[in-house]
Amino acid sequence: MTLATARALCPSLDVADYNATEDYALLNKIADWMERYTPCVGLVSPDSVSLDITGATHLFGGEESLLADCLAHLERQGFHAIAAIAGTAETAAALARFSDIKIVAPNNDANVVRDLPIAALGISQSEIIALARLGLKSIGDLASRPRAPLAARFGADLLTRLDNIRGLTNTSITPRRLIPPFIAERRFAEPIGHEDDIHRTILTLASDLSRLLEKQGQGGRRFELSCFRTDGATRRIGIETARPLRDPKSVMRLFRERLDALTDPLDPGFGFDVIRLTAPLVEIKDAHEPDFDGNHDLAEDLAALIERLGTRLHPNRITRLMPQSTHHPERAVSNIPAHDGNAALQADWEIWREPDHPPARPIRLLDPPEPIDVIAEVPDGPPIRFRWRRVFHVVVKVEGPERIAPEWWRMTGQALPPTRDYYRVENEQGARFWLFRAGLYDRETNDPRWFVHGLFG
Amino acid sequence: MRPASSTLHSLRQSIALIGRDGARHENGRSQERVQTGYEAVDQALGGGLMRGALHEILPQKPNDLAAATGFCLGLVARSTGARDWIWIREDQTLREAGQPYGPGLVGFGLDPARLLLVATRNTQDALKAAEDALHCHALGAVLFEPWGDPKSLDLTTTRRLTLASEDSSVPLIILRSGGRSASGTARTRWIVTSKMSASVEEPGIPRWSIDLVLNRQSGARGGVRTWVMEWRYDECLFRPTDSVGHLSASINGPTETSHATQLRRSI
Repeated sequence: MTLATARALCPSLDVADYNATEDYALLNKIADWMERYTPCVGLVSPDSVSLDITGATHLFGGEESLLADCLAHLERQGFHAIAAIAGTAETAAALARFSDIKIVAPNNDANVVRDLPIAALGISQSEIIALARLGLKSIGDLASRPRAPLAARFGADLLTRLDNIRGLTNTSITPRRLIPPFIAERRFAEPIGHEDDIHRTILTLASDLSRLLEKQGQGGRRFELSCFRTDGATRRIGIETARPLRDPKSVMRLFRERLDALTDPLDPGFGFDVIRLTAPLVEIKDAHEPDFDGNHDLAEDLAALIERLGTRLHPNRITRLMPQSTHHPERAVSNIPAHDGNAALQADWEIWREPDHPPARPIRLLDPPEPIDVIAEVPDGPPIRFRWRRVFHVVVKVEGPERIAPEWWRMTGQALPPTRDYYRVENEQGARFWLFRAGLYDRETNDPRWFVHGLFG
Repeated sequence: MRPASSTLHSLRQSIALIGRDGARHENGRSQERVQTGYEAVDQALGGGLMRGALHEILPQKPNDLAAATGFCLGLVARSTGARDWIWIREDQTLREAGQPYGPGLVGFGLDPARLLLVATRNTQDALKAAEDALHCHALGAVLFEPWGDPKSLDLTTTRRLTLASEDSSVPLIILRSGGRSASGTARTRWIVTSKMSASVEEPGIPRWSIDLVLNRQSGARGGVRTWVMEWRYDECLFRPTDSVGHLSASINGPTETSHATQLRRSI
């Protein structure tokens, strides 16, 4: 139908351009919300969502009520939706679009789809016409034909689709997100919105999850809280831990830190009707007995501190230093988040130890290096005086240069930065600096620039 | 279970109170001292720096910040041992004064693998982090570096920090980069000035002049004092400068040292 025809039929028609990205985003939001029914939710085509509800129906009082509940909720959110339940996602999709039968008994897929038009296969218009010309108008017609000639003429894809829709193949839904191995959830007849209620629920869920984890001898390294609002919005909040954790109180404490630190608070709107806590990442955790005093061991204490600070500030704000095998000063150390810091604990710093010699590297590194004005006797000699942050320093003692060349093997396709000549200098007051001259005089530049890169203790 | 564990607890506590000399020390671990290695300083402090307390270190001039940092790191190295320690600072400090540099810390006599770094957006967060850290018994020391003179570092806050430190016996060392005013409940306050090192041609062993301007430790003797000391990174000790001559002589011999320097320079 053209727009003109449609307008003629209904003059008050609202027209909007089709926007694939926004549609996709909206569908994703719907799929997020759908996770209240089952954790295995897949996005299929531009307009549908498939759910694997195996083992989840009893929570909603059977398949019929689940379907009714889902459609009613979507209706309330302002969507017109059609749905069906069948053995495979393809059968269900075909039934939803082309049939009045909405729920199929187990292993009855092939019978039910027999009367559906071949358009239900989701094949192109030209193929539908070609098949219709052969007198094949329904799935049943197609299924009764010998397979080899069909495959020869229309390709193997047609037969695959046919088998899928008849429920003969064993297809599975590809979930949008990894299904967490440990899940605990609470559903509420009356949506909850009060902060205390939410906190109490998290604690209960954490206890449930802790029992599940304990049975398997696991502890969570990551926890995720999903809150499903009645109006269709979902909110996910994740925390990461520094050790395998399952103690409900510790989990609760971390979530409380996180919730307190949120810039956009957890808005319950008209209330949450499902709250779920999952452990997407787990590690083996042995049972642990506190000693008679009930004292925790120190490693536990430290891990708890790292978790707390990481949760409140950001995991990247509590770090450990990790040496890198390079002589480039800025790159010689990297900061890694402390909750994954085991590598840093074992790091070997020995190469930087230089016994019987004053420290060759500063304790504080200015990053980026700060430009300074320098007076030197000769252009490629050590500095005599320099000005940094508007203060003049007279150099009394110098050691250097220590020449550090750029790492050309990292610089593919870029201009090579200048070679640096580093000097350790001491001024009249005894302050010690790490200076460098960028560029070799006469070879790389005629006007080398100077920088202060670090401060010695 | 309850009564048994509380009995055990009280027994353990009374054992913990017995010092190395066999006598009973009423105040337990928080009164424990960290020896600096410099006898005169330790005497003035009444046996060393108190563990469960707040110590404040200020640079004399902005240019002495690195020296003050060095002094702090020396105190940290003395008090941590094999434990982890934490360095809490604000983003502003990072921009103004640079970041801790691992290779430099190694050269200074510290093990960077034991260091936890925390960077916060503002002083409030930093203070909160410091208080949390002080409640953690596993740490050897907390180095807290606020920028400037934050209003939030008032008497109430420092009192809280002191209590936390007393409880866990984790010393809190506050490095006041870019700040002047004194914070409330510090047990000791030090002002650090950098000094020319002993070696003739190249920058040598870190040397500072240290003013002890506040000394509220129990058993402390004397008022404001000044010492010139060196940080012996290889021994992890503070040393008076006058003993440097025979010290380096005992390691290398003065002539050999300068010879080594000559070699290094000619290379």
